[in-house]
Amino acid sequence: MKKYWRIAKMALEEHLVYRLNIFLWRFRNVVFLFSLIAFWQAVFAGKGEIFGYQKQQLFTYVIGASILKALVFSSRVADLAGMIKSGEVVHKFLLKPWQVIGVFFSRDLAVKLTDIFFTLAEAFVLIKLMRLPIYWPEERETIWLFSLSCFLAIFLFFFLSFLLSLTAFWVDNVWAPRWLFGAIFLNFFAGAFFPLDILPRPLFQLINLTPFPYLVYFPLKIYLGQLKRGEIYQGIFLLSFWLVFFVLFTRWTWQKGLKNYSPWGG
Amino acid sequence: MKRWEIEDWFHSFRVYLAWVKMVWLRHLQYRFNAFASSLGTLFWIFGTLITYRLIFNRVNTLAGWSWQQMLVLYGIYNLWWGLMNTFFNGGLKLADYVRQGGLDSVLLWPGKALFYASMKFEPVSVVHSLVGVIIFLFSLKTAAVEFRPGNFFLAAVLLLNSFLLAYFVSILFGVSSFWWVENRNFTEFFWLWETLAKYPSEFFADHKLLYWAVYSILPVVFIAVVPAEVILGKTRPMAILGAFLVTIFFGFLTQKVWSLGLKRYTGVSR
Repeated sequence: MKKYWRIAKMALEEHLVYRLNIFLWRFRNVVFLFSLIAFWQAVFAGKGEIFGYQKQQLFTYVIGASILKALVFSSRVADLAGMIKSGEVVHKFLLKPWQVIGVFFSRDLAVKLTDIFFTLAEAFVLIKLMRLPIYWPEERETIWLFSLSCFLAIFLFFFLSFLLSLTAFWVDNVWAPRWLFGAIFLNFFAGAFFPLDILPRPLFQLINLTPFPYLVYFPLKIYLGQLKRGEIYQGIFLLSFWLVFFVLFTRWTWQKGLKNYSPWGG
Repeated sequence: MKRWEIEDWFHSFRVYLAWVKMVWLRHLQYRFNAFASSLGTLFWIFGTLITYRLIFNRVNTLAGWSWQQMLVLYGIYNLWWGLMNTFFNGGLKLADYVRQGGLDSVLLWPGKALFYASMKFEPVSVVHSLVGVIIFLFSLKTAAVEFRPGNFFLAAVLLLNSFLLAYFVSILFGVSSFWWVENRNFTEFFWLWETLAKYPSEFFADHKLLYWAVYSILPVVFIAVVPAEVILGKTRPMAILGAFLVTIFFGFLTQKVWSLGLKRYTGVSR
């Protein structure tokens, strides 16, 4: 356990080395969030409710989605694909006394820690600056269930992303599949830009059959108190199912990939 | 311009064409990649379009822009984005050249060093441009835009101007690597354009700082909004003038910063 803690600490230090770089990265995120809020403010101009969402609920969703993106999507697992291609995976993981999943998860924790710290600070400033109405749940149980769904979502995303990187065992260039599934599908189908229930019903139901909505949309719906108890438990059951599925599938793919693997040099 | 200078440009252009052919052939090696990225592009464009449509089912206008007008803007934006990413943002590559020492060899090539260092051809983005053209043509029909040759000509000139602006800004971001080794987020910062250029400036009217920024330090309004306004007959002479002035300013600044950066550059060689 100690070694993974050290890895997380090193990843954190490495992450904070280039301060100007971090400043620009955060500035970009702030402007992006700012523009998204400005967009929804234009949509809400003179209206109290839209798509069944009140102003307060929708702005909470937008801010919440940006916080959950930092918490769930911040990851360094994409590096694994490059390491597989370059052969680095051999001397960095296979010949070392640690588990590749443990190493990457430790690195992810460090990145998530910085991301969530900055995102919370930025969200606070934007809420104050733009005087955004924010919803706070009253029941303690809602907070617990929301936290549980976020916790499971972090692991679900980790294994999903890990699996995508493993395609490097079979494909020469993994940039496009990662971009297609990891960025486009994920952001849209997870509800990272807008609540999924504004989509036409059949499309919404189709998306609900995939694991993506459980990463952002589902936890936020719990937070907003828009789901009944039964729906929450059913959602958490499905989220756990997807998690177990991806854990097993990732392990199987890793072992299959290693059998298939022949790196050059090193 | 002297005769040898014209010949020099022709030579550089021939080299560029040969290079484009090479990049295209290399691109064809990875067909699945080409397919996946094209699919992603289509999904991205139509996903945004569907979201807009859903919103316009509930509202009549967004910051004074109707669905049809937004469609014209979105068409121009995608056309710009596709062509810009295919040909015009090669300046971002400069950062890699500087970091990895590849700039030394570029500087030694006979011809225009900055042109070679910033030339770009991204086959993947061709799909984006084509879809942009289709949306634009469709939007002209939907918005029942009256064909005024003068307006269309001016919009085309403004679009060319916005390619130049993107080219200069991409070089500025790339050149920053002369001073900052790790400037990945400078280049990431460039992609803010992707986010902001598709929104009418009226969206930011209530936020004075951002409103000022999109006309000055982040001049995204001149990219697609001003050409779209010209086509829609909402011409603002000051905005048009501003578009040209901003491009001239960034062109001048780019040349200066490039010269300053070269003086500072100490090659690593490869």
